[in-house]
This record gives sequence, C-alpha cells and structure tokens, in this order.
Amino acid sequence: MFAETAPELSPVETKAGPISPRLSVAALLFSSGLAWMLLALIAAPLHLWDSEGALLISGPLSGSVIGLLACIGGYVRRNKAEALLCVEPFVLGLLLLLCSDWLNRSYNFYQGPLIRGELLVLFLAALVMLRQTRIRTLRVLPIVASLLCVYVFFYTAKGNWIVSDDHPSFVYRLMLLWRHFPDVPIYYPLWNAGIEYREYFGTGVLGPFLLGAPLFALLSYTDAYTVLVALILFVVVPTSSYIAARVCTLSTLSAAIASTLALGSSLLWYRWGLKYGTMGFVTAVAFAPMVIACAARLYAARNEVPRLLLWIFGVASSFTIFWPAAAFIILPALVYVAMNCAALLRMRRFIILTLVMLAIHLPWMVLFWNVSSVGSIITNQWEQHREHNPLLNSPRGKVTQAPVSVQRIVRPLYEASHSTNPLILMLLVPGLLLISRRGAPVYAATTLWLLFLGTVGNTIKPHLELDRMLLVLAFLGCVPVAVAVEAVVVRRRIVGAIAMAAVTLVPFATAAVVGNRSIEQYTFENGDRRRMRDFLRELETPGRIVFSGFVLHELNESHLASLPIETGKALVASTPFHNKWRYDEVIPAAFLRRGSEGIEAFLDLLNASVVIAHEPNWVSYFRGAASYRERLQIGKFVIFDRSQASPSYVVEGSADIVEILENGVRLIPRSDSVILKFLYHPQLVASPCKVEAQSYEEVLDLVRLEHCTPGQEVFLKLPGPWRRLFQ
Amino acid sequence: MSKLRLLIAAVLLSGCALWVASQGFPAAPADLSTTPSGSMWRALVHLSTNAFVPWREDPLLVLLARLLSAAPEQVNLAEPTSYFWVSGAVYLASMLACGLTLGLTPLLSLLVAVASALIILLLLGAEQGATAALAWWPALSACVLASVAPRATTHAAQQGPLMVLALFFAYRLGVAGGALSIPLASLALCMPAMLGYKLRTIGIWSLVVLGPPLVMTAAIPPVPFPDYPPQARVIADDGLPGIVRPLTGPDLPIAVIDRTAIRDALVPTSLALLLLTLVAGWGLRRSQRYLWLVALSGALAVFLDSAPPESVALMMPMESIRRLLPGLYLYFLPPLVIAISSILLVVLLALRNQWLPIAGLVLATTAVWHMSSIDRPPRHGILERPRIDVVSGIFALPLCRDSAAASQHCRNILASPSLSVLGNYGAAILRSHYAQVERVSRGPGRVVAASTNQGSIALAHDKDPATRWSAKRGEEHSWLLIRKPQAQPAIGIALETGQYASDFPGGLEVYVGDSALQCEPSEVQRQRWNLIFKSDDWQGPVKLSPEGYPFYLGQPDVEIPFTQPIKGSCFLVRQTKRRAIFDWSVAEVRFLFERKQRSPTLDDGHRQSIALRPNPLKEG
Repeated sequence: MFAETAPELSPVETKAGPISPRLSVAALLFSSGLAWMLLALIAAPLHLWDSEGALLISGPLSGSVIGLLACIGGYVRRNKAEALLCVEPFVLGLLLLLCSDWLNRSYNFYQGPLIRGELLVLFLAALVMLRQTRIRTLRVLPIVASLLCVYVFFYTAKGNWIVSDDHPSFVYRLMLLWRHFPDVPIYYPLWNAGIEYREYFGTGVLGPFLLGAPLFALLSYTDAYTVLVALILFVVVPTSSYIAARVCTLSTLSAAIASTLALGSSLLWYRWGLKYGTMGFVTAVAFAPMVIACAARLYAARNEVPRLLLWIFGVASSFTIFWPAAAFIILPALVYVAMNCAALLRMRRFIILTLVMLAIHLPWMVLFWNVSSVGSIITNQWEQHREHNPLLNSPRGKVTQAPVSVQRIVRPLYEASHSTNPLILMLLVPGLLLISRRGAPVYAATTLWLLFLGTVGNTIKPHLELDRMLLVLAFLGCVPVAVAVEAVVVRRRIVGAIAMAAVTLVPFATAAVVGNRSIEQYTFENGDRRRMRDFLRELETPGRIVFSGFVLHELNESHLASLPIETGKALVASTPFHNKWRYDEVIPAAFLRRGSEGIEAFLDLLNASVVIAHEPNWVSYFRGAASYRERLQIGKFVIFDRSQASPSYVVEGSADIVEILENGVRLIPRSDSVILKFLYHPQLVASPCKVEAQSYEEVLDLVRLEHCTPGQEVFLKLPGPWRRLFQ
Repeated sequence: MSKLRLLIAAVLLSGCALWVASQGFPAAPADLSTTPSGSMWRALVHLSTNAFVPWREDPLLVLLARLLSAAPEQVNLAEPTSYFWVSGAVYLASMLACGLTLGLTPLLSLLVAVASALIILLLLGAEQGATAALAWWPALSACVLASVAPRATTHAAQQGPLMVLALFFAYRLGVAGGALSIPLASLALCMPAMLGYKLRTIGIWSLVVLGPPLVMTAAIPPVPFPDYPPQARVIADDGLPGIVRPLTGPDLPIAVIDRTAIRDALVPTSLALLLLTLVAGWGLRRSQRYLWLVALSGALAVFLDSAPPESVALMMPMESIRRLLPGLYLYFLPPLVIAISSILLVVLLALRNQWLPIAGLVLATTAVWHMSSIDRPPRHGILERPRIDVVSGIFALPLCRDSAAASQHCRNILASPSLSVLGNYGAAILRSHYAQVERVSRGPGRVVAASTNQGSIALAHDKDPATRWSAKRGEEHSWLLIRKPQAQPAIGIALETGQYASDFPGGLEVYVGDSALQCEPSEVQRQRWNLIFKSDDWQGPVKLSPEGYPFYLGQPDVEIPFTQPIKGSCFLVRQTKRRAIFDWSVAEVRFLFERKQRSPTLDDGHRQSIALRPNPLKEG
C-alpha cells in the first residue's frame, strides 16, 4: 500500500545496523548496561519480587554508574563490523522489572503482583505458538483486543452513558456544535444567564464532533456520545497506530503489535480518556502517530509521494491540530517536513494539500486567536477583573510556579514511568534505533522533544500541564517498540516469548482498566443524576434554577455542563465546567457581604425561581428562610422553590421575552431602554438596539438595551463567525 | 484374552456404578438456585466451595427431560434430577459418537462413555451447569474430529454439513455451559491437533466452534449479587491483603469462593491423577503425545493450584486463566479440570486398547471419593453432611427442598454467597437477636477468673482499651469466667481486643452456667455449663444485611452473638483454637443488650421453615 518508495522490511533483515542480530559479548555488555541504566532511572530502588525482597538497584545514581561501567566495557570490547546494541538485554530488563517490586506499586498498568500469573500463562502459550511457528496468528490480536475492550466498556456501562468528570462538558460542546455549526461562537443564555460558547477552540472538540457527526444523526446524544468514546479509544487509537506502522513500511506483524500496544500504552491514558473525559486531547493524540509516520516518509521523500500518504497526512494532521496544544506534539515532525520543503514543493500533490489545509484551518485558527487569549494562556497572565464574578468563569491570578530543580524536572518522568506499559519503557530505545534505519529520525526527534516538554517544559510552564506529553510519548512509542518486539520474537524463542506474553497481556490489562478494575475509576450515569435530570426536565418554573455554593463533581462525579442540553432549563452554577481549582461561591462576594438581603438581591437579578443546595450551610440557610420551600432531596442535593415578588427576566423597562434559544434571546422591547437579566458580553448585538452593560455592585454586568424601537422584535446574540473573524 | 479384559473392565465399571447408586444419589441442586425476575438466568450456589454462578437450562435438554419424564409441568424446579439424567444420557450418546469417530470399536466406545460418565458423576456430582456443558462437548469434538479423522470422509463437500452440525453443538454448548463453554469449545477445537491431525480450514472452524460460546458468554447477565456493606466477608479469611479480581468478565464485590475449604482435599486427587497420567505416558505413540500432554497439564495445573501456599497458588495457571477468560472467575475450576483430564486419559487409554487401566481409573476415583466421604465431620448447622462432598466437588444440597413451605425469599438467602456463613453458624443466626438488632447497647462484664494470668484479669474490665488480659502465649483451651452484673438478658458478649486488634481468638466456645451457679472459679466444670456458642474458626461476628443476608464483620471485632437473649449471669468463654504467633487478648469485656428492634427481614413463617439448627440451649 505504502511501499512505492520504500520496500517493506522485517527486522530480521536488518544488516549491520545499529541493532545487532548476533549476540556478541560487546553488544550484550553494552545493551545490558543501557538497560540497567534505564531500570535505575525509572524504577530505583528496585527489590526482587516485593518490597521485602533482595535489593537489586539501590538508587538511580549507583544503578546508572554500574550501567555506565557495563556500557564502557562493551564499547571497549566492540568489534567495528558489528553493531553495539541488541534487543535481548532490554527484554530481560523487562523480565526483571516484572519480577520486581516495581510491578506492585500503585498506578501500574500491569497491576501486580498477581498479574505475574497471567504473564506466566501467556508466556507458556507464546512459547507453544513460537514453537508451532504460529506467530502470524498475532495479526488478529488488535482486532480481538479492540473487540474485547468495546465489549467490556459497554458491559461496564450497563446501558448508562459515561458522565465521569468532563464527559458531560463534551456532550454539551458537541451538541451545541451539532446544532449550530458552523455559526459559532454563540451566546448561550441557558447557562449562567448567558455565556459565550467558544470552548470548541481550546478543548479540541472539533475532532470528536467530525468523527461523531454520523452517530449524532442516528442515535440519541447520550448513546451517540458513549459510542463515540468507545470508537475513539478502542477503534481509532489502534487503527491509527496500525496505519502509522504501515506508513513506516513495517510488516503487518509489527503493525499489529503496534496497534495492540496502542490500546495499552499507559494507565494514565485512560485517566485522561475515560476518567477525565478530555476527548479533544485524546482524539488529537490518537491521530498523531499517523502524522509522525507520514512526516517521516515526507522527510525522506525525493520523488512524488503516494496520494494515499498525502490523504492520510492531511486528515491526520487536521484531526491532530483541532486540539491546538497538539501543535507541540507534532512540531518536530513538521520541522522535518519543512526541512525537505525544497523537494516537497516540487510535488504538485503536496502543494495542493498545503493549500487545502491552509484553507480549512487558517480561518478557525485566526478566530481562535482573536476570541481566546492565547498569548495570556501561554504566558500565564490572566485577565484581572475589577471584582471577581464567578459566573464569568475567569480564574484569578497565576498558577504558582515553584523554583526549577533537577528533582522537579525528573519527577514527572519517574511518575509517568510507573503507569506506562513496561514493554514500552524498556524497548523504546532499541525500537527507535531500529525504526531509524528507515530514514525516520523524526521519531527520535519527537521522542526527545516530548521528553523535554514533559520534564523541563512542565517545570517551567506548569499551568500548561505539559506532563501529559510523557503520556503522548508512551503512545507514540508503540510503533518503534513494535519493531523491537518483532525483531526479538522472530529470532529468539524464550526471550521472544517473554515479549510476546507482555504484548498479549495488553488486551486483558486494558480490559481490566476499562472494566473499572484499576485505581483509576470512572463513572457512568447513576440513579441520582438520572433522577435530577428527570426532575429538572419535568419542572415547570418561570425562572432560572440556581445551584448554590460550589458544585464541581458532587453530582455523579461529573460536571453539570450538559444539564441544560438534557433538560432544556436555564441553570446557574459557580461553574458548569472544570475550570476552577478551588472553592468559588456562585454568589459574588460583593453581594454576600450584604448578607441575606444581598443574597436575595443577587438571586432576584438572576430571576432564580428554584434553588438547589448541597452544602450543609446553604441547606440550613434555605430551610430557615421564609421565601423558600423544600421540595425534594436527591442524594445530597436539596431542591427548594423560591418565591419571588415578580418573576421576570427584565430588571428595568419593559419587554416581552419571546423565546430563550440556545444561541440568543428573542424579545420585544416595550420601552426604548430595557435592562435584562442576562449577562453582558462586549460582542453582543441586538439590532436595532444598542447593547450596553449595566453594572450591579461593580461585579454583575447585565445587558442594557438602548435606543430600541418599542414593539419591534430583536434578537440578542453574538455576531456571526465571519464578522468576528475580520473584527 | 482381550475379550476377557473387556469383560473384567465392564464388571468393574458396573460394580462402581452400582456402589455409587447404592450410596443414594441425591436430588439435583436446582432447589438452591435463585431466579432474577424476568430472566432465564439463575444464580446457583455450590455447597462445597460457595461458588455463586449464573446458570440457565438448555431448552433442548429441558424438552428431552419433559418427554422422558412425561411431566407436563416445568422441569426446572419440579424435576431437576431428570434434567441431570438427560444431560448424562446426552453425554453418553455424544461420547459414544466421539469414540466411533476416533476409530474405536462400538464396545470400546461404550466403555469409554460409561467410564468417563462415572468419573464426571463422582467428581462433579449433580451440578447441572457443568454436566450439561460437558454433555455437548464430546459431540462438538466429534464433529471437529470427523473432518480430519482417518475413518471419516474428509471430502470437501462434507465439510459443510459437518460445520453446520458443529455450529449446532457449539450453540448448545454455549447455551448450556455459559462461561465454561469457551474453554470447552477451545479444547474441542484443539482435539485434532492433540491427536496429530491438522485442521485445514482452521479459521472457519474457529469461527464455527468458538463463535456461539463467545456470543453466549457475552450475553451472561451480571449475577444478582446481594448488597453487602463495605468490609463484609462471607468466607473464611485467606490471610492475603485485598481481594482478587478478574481482568475480564463479571466481577464480584467480595470474595465468594472458599478455596481454603477445599484446596487441601484436592492435593491427593491431583497427585494421583498426575502419577496415573505419567504412567499412561509410557510407550506413547508420537501422534498421541499432545493428548497426553494436555491431560498431564490439567492434572499439573490442579496440583499447582492446590499444593502451594495461597499467595503462590493465586499466580498459578488455573487461577490466572480463571481471571483471564470472561466469566470463569465465578467458577471453582479444579474438579472440572480433573474431570476433563480424566476423560482425556480414558480416551488415550482406549486408543491404546488398555481397557483394564480405564476400569482401574474409575475404581481409583470411586475409592478416593469414598475415602473423602467417610469420617468427615458433618457441618454443624443447617447443612446436612453432603453425600458428595469436598473431593467430589461441586454439589449444592437442596435446603429449601420443601418448596411449599419455603418461599422465594428463603431461597434467595440460602442460594446466595451467604450460604457459607449459614454453613458455619447455622440458620439460627437468621433468628439471632444480635444480628438483627440495629442498635446494640453495651454493659460492662466482670472477669471473675481465668485459666492463666490470673493477676491481670482486672485489666479486662478496667474500661481502658490500652490494658488487657491475655492468655499465656495465646494457648489453646484458655478460658475466662465472666459475670454479668446486669439483670437484663444479654443478646451477645463482646471480648474487645482494644489496641491489640490482631489478638483475636482462633476458635471459641461460650457456655452459660445454671441459674444456681455462684460464678466461682471452683465451679468451672464442664458438666454444669450449657453451650450457647461455638466457632471452630473465628471469622468475626455475623450480621445481617438490610435484605437479610448474613455476613461476617472483621475478625478483631470479637462480638459473640447469642441465638436468643440469655438471662443467666455466669459465662465461661474458652479458646478452642490457637493462632500461630498471636496472643488471645481481652482488653474489655462487655455484654450486649437489645436497644431497638429493626424491622424483620424474614417473616416468621420463613424463619420457621428454615429452622434447621437445634437450639443449643434446649439441647443442654
């Protein structure tokens, strides 16, 4: 398929490359030293079997010194005709790791110590398979693995939809995109009296949206979303690695191994994918292997490249950069492609691809730059308001930065290594050396770059959460590691069986994580959330529903974001999303300082007719206040009806609210000046009225419409994307 | 000569069969199964291991059972035995077919079928799920073998019908066997390789043979597991931290299978089978090597599962496979694996025309079964001594047999993971005031005398949890004489361990003295005491969950429940089992009194119906 410019190579065909097919003493010594150093860096102190066992490596420094001495010994004894590296010592290092207390530590992908039994069974099976030369059977492994994970995921779901942490936020973003694309950003009046919906830029929701669009057309949005999560995590991820391996002209066996490993690169991968629900990040990274592989081919290209390769590069890089921070990941790959631009720009297909990519991505990127404070995010300089208004969701202050030290730099590496698949940890180095023979230094550069970002970068810019790059590194490492695994599997029966056992365990270990049998637990919708949703959906109330205090994960370990989508009701909460990292009361301090009168004034200004409290102080406050009537308790949430003198969305003047839509408010002003109980945003328009801000307590800015024509309907909304693009 | 050997073998086998029948074949255990509403699946609990497995009947076997028993009503509860016997008949027929496919003579095939059926009967008892799964397995194997076996026509045109037939049997295996169907189908698929043949269209055959069991296993619903509170246990503590969880398939929130109760008993059986298999490997033909190896692997796997310490056994192949394959985690596999290994061994011996060893194998199994059955102390409590017990493996005794009296609720509680608790404490625990009382008040007790460390007995009622009385090196038969100062009847006694949480007793007996007793040290004479509580292996106090399922709390909570409020004022507590390296410490003695009655979980009628344990007080 991709072999027009490079023939498919099997690792056994490697000739005098950086990896030695023969086990010379020098190669063994050098490789063992390197493997020992690796063990010392990622796992020291290391004990045999469990923490009570014999001490193998006392510390990173002493272990590294021993490893270094072995390396020097091997280097001194080297024969110039032979390569200095061989894969086998790394596999034995893996065996040592699996037989050490490292396997018993928390957050391990292979959850020891009992997993050693499964490894033993699979080792025996692999031994039989290698003896029977049934190695090609492994090619079905990614399909089996994928099916197993999908089955376990839906078995665990028991018909409920996934709501853990940010998943409802993604449903909210996806549904708004589904209903309003491409007319985004929009003014969304159903949350917090009107917010600007523009999160699809920074959160990378465009990728999942494009992948899931057919599902949203066919299924209910919750079912479609759960299917989409399974599709991305268990179908797109392995397929991407498979294609990447094939693009690198690796054999189908290597591609199958890479594909299987991609499903189980790290435990933390599922923390971000299933528990945190950062589907934008996951989707972007899922496509990254193809970008790196295509970049490697494009870097080496001298003549016209295959059309399919360009297609893959175009689609994969598009999906990757839909999450803007993914630009960090593929930066070295793009630099390498740029280095070959002289040759590439002579290719007509490549020029067309470049133009198409610019036409697709440039508009939204410019818009993204305009509406999001990208510069301030990178420099950690957040916008400061006169007085903090929780409804605006603007975090205050900087993320505190501790002084840079070697310990702080190495720490994320040490922590990430625990959750990474040990096969990837140990075989990445030989894998990179093997794959580099195919003219792809792109992999090595990307590895070093991600290592730098995850350690040094994370220390310098902690607010960017660059430690995630180590996770990405483990994921992208699947392709080179697959080459190393194949190299050892086809050459050595015992050592190959060890590597094969580790590969075949991946589907089962992943199934355990997906089945919620790991330290990383994620949630599906439970009874309390379902009751809350049904109650709100059937609630007839003239005003908004306010969640008092600070709600973050209290409802089913998830955010509230999707509740307006699910219920059609206007809600107010301190934050519907996960953009606050400390307690932040929904009622601004300026109102709270005025006591009960201030609280009621604030709730009046929001037209609150129902209040939901979960914190004991707020529950007792509402229970004690005369204007509140307790209605229902769902879990820890107590729902109160709030009586108002005149429930209305108008503060001053006169207007008829015709309709509160998802992208604005239709109203008919009855006076030339109206103050509405909707939050002001500088970009709002309501032609022919003029939109201005009416401030209360210098913290709550509501919409004031001036110069309206009484009786003429206006639509309060944000201007269209094209208008904002050229603003 | 060969006819004579065959005759001897037949006589021996008939003798075994008659002897087993003379021991009285019990009713099948379906009485103990509980049916979740609106589901054809049921949960079945195994008496010996406490395994709690989802199970459903094969409609075809049910139909055959109805036809044979001519009973119009449903077979599932009314006539579970006929279902079992039909499974056995199907097994015999399909094993006969398998033997013929292998090229054995009809007589030898019949011998193989009868011998293996006897072994299954001895090892698995009347466990319907496993026997129904095994019933279809030889038929499936026969189909796969027929496509390669020398006597079969392997013409390409006949592969199609064979595959259709195999698909039918694979489906039946999937329906009847549940999660067991995957390993059995895999074994059937490997049969040609075991006999030195090669399946040409392995891909299609894999789909045909493994497809239905995979689909059926995926359709197994979650087991209707009772809602136990956190930290609850229903089986003896295995001494290992945490609980084992499977990687795939259904999981259970607490450990259910009581491995410690049965592991030791499996060592001699597996060892005997291992030796027999090794001997059978003598002079083996090359083509039969893999069949022998698989039989040997099975015996070895069971041995490795039962012989080493539990922490090591959990990493051995059998336990690992149980965690790897979906659904297998719910089963206790060793008896089934021994049965399969024995069947393979029988087939191997038959292929070598060694009839007498076949009969010998059955005889040996019968002997082991008999030896394991005799001199085994009956479980005290509601459980009668099982006729086919530990070594015989999976067999659940019908406790709610009298379906007219016993309600579904009784059935649910008995056919639950709590069966093991009921086995230890008896059904009386369901009536225990202590277990049912939501709020228990405590009053101090006074230690009057002790077997050892007499000088420190005051520390056991000084209201200081940091001070204690302890038995001398925790020795067996240590005792405490305790006086209850309160007039109120006690529903239990707490021997609090205070700050010495690991110093709980190994086993306990509690006696109450006659009303005439003055509670003096000189009166510690066994004849004058009534036994009111006995636990050979202290697992913790028993409580009832909100739905009425009994469970153990932690072992350090030494709270001893009485089956009914006790008015007596003098109590004798004896330790009957010493725990290695640990003392028996009592920091405070307190009596437990009823404060508030919780709404009953079993109505009185139900309690009467399961009043299977005599009251020790009345006995005294």
